[in-house]
Amino acid sequence: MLVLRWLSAAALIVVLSVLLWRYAHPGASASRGRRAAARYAEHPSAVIALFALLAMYVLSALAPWLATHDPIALLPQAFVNHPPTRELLFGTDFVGRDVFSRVLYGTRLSLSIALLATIVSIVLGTTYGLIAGFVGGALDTAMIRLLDAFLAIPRIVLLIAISALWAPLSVTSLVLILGLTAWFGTSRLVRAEVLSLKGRDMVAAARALGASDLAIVRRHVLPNVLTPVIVSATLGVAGVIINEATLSFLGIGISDPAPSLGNIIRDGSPFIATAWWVALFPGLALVITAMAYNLAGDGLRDALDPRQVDR
Amino acid sequence: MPYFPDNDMRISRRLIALCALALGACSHDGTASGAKHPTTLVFTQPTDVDNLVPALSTSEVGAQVDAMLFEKLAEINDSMNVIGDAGARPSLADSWTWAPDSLSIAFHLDPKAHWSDGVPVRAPDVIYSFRVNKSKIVGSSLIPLLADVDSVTARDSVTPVIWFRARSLEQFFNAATQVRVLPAHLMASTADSALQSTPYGRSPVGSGPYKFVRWVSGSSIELVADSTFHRGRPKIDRLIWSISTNPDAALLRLLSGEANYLDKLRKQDVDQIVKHPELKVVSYPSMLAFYVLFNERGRKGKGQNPIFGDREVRRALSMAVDRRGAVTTVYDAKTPVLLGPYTSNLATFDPNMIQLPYSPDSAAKLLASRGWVLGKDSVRRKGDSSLEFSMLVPGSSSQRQQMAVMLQDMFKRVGARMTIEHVDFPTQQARKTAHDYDAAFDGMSLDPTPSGIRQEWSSAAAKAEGQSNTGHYMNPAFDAVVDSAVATMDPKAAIAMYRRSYAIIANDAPAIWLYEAAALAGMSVNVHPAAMRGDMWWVNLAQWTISDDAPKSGSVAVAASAH
Amino acid sequence: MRRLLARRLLQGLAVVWIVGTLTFTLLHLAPGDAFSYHDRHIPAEVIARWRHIYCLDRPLVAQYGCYLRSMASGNLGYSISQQRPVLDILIDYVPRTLELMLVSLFFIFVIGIRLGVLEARHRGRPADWGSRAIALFFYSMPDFWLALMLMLVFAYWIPVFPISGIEDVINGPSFNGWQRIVDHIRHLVLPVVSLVLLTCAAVARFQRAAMLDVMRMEFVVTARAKGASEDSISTHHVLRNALLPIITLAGLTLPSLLSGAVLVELVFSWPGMGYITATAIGNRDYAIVMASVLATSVLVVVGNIAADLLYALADPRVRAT
Repeated sequence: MLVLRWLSAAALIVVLSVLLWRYAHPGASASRGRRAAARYAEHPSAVIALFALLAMYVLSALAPWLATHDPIALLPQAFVNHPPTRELLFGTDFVGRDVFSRVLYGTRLSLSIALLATIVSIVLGTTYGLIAGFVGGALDTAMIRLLDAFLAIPRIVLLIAISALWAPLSVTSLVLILGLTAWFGTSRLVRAEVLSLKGRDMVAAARALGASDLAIVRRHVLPNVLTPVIVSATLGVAGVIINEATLSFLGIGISDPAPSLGNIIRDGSPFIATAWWVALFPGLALVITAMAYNLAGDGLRDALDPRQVDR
Repeated sequence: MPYFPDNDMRISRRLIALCALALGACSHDGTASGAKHPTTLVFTQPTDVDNLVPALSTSEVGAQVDAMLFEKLAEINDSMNVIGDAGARPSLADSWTWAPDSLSIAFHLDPKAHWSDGVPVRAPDVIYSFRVNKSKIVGSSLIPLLADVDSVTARDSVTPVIWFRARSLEQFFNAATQVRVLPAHLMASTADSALQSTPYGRSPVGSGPYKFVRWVSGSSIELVADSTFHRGRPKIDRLIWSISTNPDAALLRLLSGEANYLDKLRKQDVDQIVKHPELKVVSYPSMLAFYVLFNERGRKGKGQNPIFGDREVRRALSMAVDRRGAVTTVYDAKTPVLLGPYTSNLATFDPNMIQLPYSPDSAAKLLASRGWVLGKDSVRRKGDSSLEFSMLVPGSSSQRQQMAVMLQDMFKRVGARMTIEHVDFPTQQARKTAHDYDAAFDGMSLDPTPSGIRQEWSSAAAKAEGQSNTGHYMNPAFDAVVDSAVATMDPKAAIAMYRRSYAIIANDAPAIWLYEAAALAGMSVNVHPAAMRGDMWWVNLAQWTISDDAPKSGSVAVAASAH
Repeated sequence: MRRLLARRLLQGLAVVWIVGTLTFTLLHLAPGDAFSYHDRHIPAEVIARWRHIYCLDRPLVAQYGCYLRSMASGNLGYSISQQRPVLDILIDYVPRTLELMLVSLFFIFVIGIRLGVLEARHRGRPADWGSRAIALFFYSMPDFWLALMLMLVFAYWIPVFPISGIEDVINGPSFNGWQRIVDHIRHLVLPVVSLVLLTCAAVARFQRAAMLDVMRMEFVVTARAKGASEDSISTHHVLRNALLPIITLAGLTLPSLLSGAVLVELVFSWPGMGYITATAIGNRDYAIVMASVLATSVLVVVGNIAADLLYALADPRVRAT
């Protein structure tokens, strides 16, 4: 029964991948989006990354349906810190929970949190960068100094300080805090882009024609800023996933018994030498996801921004 | 600017490999040669110490180090008899005399006793130490025990006299065998409020069998034997507490010979250690009691708990649990079932204490008689509320988690649904103090004094905010019996009264008494511990020995197989 | 040069001031204050005394002024779990982190630059993408997980290096100078290896891009046209020019390196800033947590200023201004 479910999940992944692939290889007529997709498809690593992400999302979305065990239920004493078997693919943890099912559910939670937090950070970062870049002057100087200060604090230390003060965190506040500490880089990028756009002819022309600031931002600035924002968002997800895992690892993120990739590793860390499987598998899931996002981000940069070649 | 042609890179790679080899080789020589002279006992501990002044230290490691650096006037025997001075042996004082009315005791200090800087220990040191430990500003944990001590005076320079406000069976124990004597000549000039941050707390001078050598914060604390110690030089030359936050890293230190003592073994530690012939597992008496505590107050301390406020429900849930079976499954048949809020090594222990029987049928009947009727989903209901509650389970012990799962199953059979909340230890403490819980898997290290029961279970302890009776168990009859047990001067009567109080509390079932934990330590086979006491295994460290015959693992393996 | 230094110092001060204000705000937004959380019994008189010293018993504006004053004088609060002023703790722990960072930084750049040069020279070939893939693999790892995996590998499979602590506590005191250094290096190996693996991908990537940029420049093309060998081109022309931006990168790498150090120190029980911060969470010791925010950002600011000055020294165009 479970095998069937897994097979159908795999089939779904293949179908979705083929659809994606077809989109990237258009016929004669090609829109701008399709041209970008075709450029993206030129990077084999980026394509593999995209498929890996697709697989991760499909599997974790179907976690309740695919899990072999209840991720919170405890198995009998004989199955405490049990090494992997055919029944227990990734073994069990120190209280006898099935690590495989926990990793499935944990990936789901970690991916969702990372996605939401990235949206928060992108909205914030873009707004901040737009305002600083567009308004300019003393406000820009003040805003950029503030940004410098935020960038000077090691991200994890800042996250630890905030989370520790408000612990225990709900999932919503965790998303907010991760988002609130991840936007600095984005806004820097956006500001730089805005500054360079401001000097261009089209903006000057629009202004001469009496367009309002808001209209200029909407029509000329935002569309051009979108490319670096999308790229930095994609790369940002990787960072946020790792940061969330780090907080959970330190015991101030997602709290037990709900599984997140970070707290599964935390459960395994006191037993790293005696029950290595508990920390190994969720870590691999993390690395695969983060690496896929990094590769996809690189691919996107090349695809969306033809000016930058071969970075 | 340098450039690195590929050629050059190859050389350096080889160099790195050589370095790694050299570094690796060094480790082997280091541990093998250094272990012979002098003898060193290395404890691996998970946390650093906060302070080394005995009145200020709050950590267990701090207590261990302090026990080797500082002395009490007297020490109780390994039998842990705390009544009067019958079980006491000399320590800093070589003798003592009671006043005829028992309201004062004069101690005669060993004239040879001296601080490690050479200054002799005298009566002013004792006077100072008692004042500091009674000071509200310093906040020593001994304050409640010293409530009956009125003052300390000096009859002459080697004869401090402790004056008591009231007599009790435990007055000697509470005063003479609790306070560690501090050097007044080094500390008295510091204001009490500034004691916490004096440099002295990080490089103490004591009168004990060992002298302070160094404390590398976050890494290790080292003591060395004082050959001029007034009761004879300790056997082991050096004691080192080394810190390793990760439990598996601590285990590996023991396995690799970087440490030769590891306390509080987990199950997987034992599994690993028994594979190593140069190591052994030693079990020692402990006073750790584990039980499921019911919160009789409502959530957040409002009103009464709709489930556990009812004594009959608590009794029914207790009867639903096969304690012997659960303890045997999770631990073994030798691990004793806890009979009440006391362990089997207390003098007041009564092995024939009447217990609530294990009987799911009677439990079900009792619940039904209190209005909890079985619903369709096989969970009992009474009006709108259902028999559902959560239990906090702290820490990373897999046995405790497992026990919790077994309890969950047993409750289910009588129609109660329990969910397990796995929390870390500080969270559990905070939620207990805030009464923000239904039930909690709790553990407690007991005092050797039977009167300790008053601090945990009396009504007074429940009423005072932030007090230890977080389950809010209150029974005036229990309070009365305990109070008279504490007040009486007749040892036999006291034991009888304590036993009566045990019967009362067991009958009220404020908790499901589960088991007495076996304490296990792993150590090298050539470490020979002296008697390890249940409340403080380290108390006789000065008498421990290390035989220098078997520092290498290989030779021990041969010797072990020859047996 | 002196003007540049003065300007950078002023900017650095501004950054530290903002970070200080931020920690102050955080502490005040959070429920309670640094002295209202603790599991152990601290007498009210002691807490009152510390609250007074840190002005927590005064109105908000006065508190802020007092906070800035005490910060400037290095008075960073009182740690409940260690029972001593936070500054004393920093004095014990910061040098260990600095040592770890500097050693790691050295290897990160030596290895990162080499990888970058190698990748640029073999651009598009297996050596290029292979090296980039491996570097990215490590770059995508959570710091603590890599450290745990190294611990696993070096605990059982290759028990060559100690997996925790900073020294051999048994034999350490009897070591002579040379043995002591070797012992210390042995304990450094695993934390440094973790940090290097985690960070050198970023340096390699940057170096590769810089090399490729320079390679396209006119003077390189000219040199090649003149018939100079590839080796001499990469040595004399490309690398020299591509190394300059790397100095700036050194400053920029510091925050992520410090973030990594927090976790790596915790896993290997290396008693530095990160270790003390992570253990402070468990002890609910907020004074240490907040001080570490400040201390680590001061480290970053100082690192950045140093990088800028180095850059100025290396680049005659900047030196002149």
